[in-house]
Amino acid sequence: MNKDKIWVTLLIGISIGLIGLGKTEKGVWLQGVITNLFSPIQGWANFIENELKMRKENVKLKKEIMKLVMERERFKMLEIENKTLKEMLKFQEEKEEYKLKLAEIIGRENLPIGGRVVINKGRIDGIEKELPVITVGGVYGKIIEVKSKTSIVETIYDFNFRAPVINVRTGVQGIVEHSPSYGIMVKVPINSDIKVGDEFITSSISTIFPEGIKVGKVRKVKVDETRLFYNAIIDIGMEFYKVNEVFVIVGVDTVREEEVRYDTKVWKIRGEKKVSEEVWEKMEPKIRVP
Amino acid sequence: MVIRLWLLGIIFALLNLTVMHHLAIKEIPLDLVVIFLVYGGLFYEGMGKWLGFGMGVILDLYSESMGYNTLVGTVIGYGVELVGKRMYKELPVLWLILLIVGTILHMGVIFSVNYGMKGYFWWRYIIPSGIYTGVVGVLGFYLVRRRYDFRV
Repeated sequence: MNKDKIWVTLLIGISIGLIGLGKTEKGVWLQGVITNLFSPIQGWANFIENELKMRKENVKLKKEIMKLVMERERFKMLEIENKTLKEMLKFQEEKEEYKLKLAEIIGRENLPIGGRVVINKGRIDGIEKELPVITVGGVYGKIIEVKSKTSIVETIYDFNFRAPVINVRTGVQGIVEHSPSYGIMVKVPINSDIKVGDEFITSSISTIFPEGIKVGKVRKVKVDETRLFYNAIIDIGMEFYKVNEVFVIVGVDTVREEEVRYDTKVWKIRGEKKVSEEVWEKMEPKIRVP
Repeated sequence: MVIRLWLLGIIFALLNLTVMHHLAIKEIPLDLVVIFLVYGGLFYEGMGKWLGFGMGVILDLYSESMGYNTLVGTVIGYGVELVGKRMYKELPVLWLILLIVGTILHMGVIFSVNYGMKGYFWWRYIIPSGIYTGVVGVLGFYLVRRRYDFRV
């Protein structure tokens, strides 16, 4: 056997070893360690990408100066940015019951369809497997693998992604998935009440997503080849490839609201906090009973 | 020269991980790793398997299923090396065939590992990706070889 063949055999052996190792906890740990070593280079690659994008934009803006509309364009850009920031802020305020962690998309897995992405938050940031990932536009995906500083997200565009959803208008339950033939769609039982424009949100039966997260609106309804389902093709509320920041729902605040009877008053207590007698007296009763 | 080749290999692998979706046409991907691997394997003797292994490891770092990119990369790199030893290298048809076969093999394994062997993927993504990568790769090779005054 010549030297070349020995090397190839050795490299193939190592590759097979890696496949075996990849399925163990040690393998995931090792992958995480090496990924961290590469993260500065990954950062440079993202920097180059951003740099290239910015240069392109710069050239575009110079052309706009010649057309004397640069100021207007800049104003528009600021307006959009402002709008996005406001939306994100509003979204965070609206979803105050969720503990959200903002993450940046730093890479996409070696798949063409945007199926999986890498975010810059990992175990040390409190990210765990199976946590839901959302954007201002709604459901984005779920965490499928966690390393110390990065995590892999299986997005709604991944062919393995499934999530139970519910039609806001009719309450019909379905499953959202990415079909190669139809794109993002919701499978609902045949003869269900469904029409174009219906909105789907995550259902309470989901073990991953909290109830009520926006998924999308029905654009077209088609009968499945099996004739057992309707395939409702939906428009998700985001431009997928333009999403650069996502929120990971790391927990739900267990805010408990209950009414407590004390003396002749009914008090509304929010949260798990115990209230001292002094504070109790200062609290305004929500309802007074005769 | 070898260090420059390795650096370029790392850059191509990272570009594949970061900007591949920008180069896709109708979701059909351009496999930058295979383009670089075929070029390296053909024109830098004995480097194919090493480049395939190294670039595969980088892709695997960001992959859920570790090891598969490394394995396929090594096999493609070594295969290209063997072809390069036995045939006339400056032949665009040879480049095209190697690029198409390499991409189909790479994408085929990655898709099968992630989504299972489904016929639809072959017609929708894998084979078109092979053709796309083949055409772009041959043009790229042609330009690079001409620039450095090789016989093309």
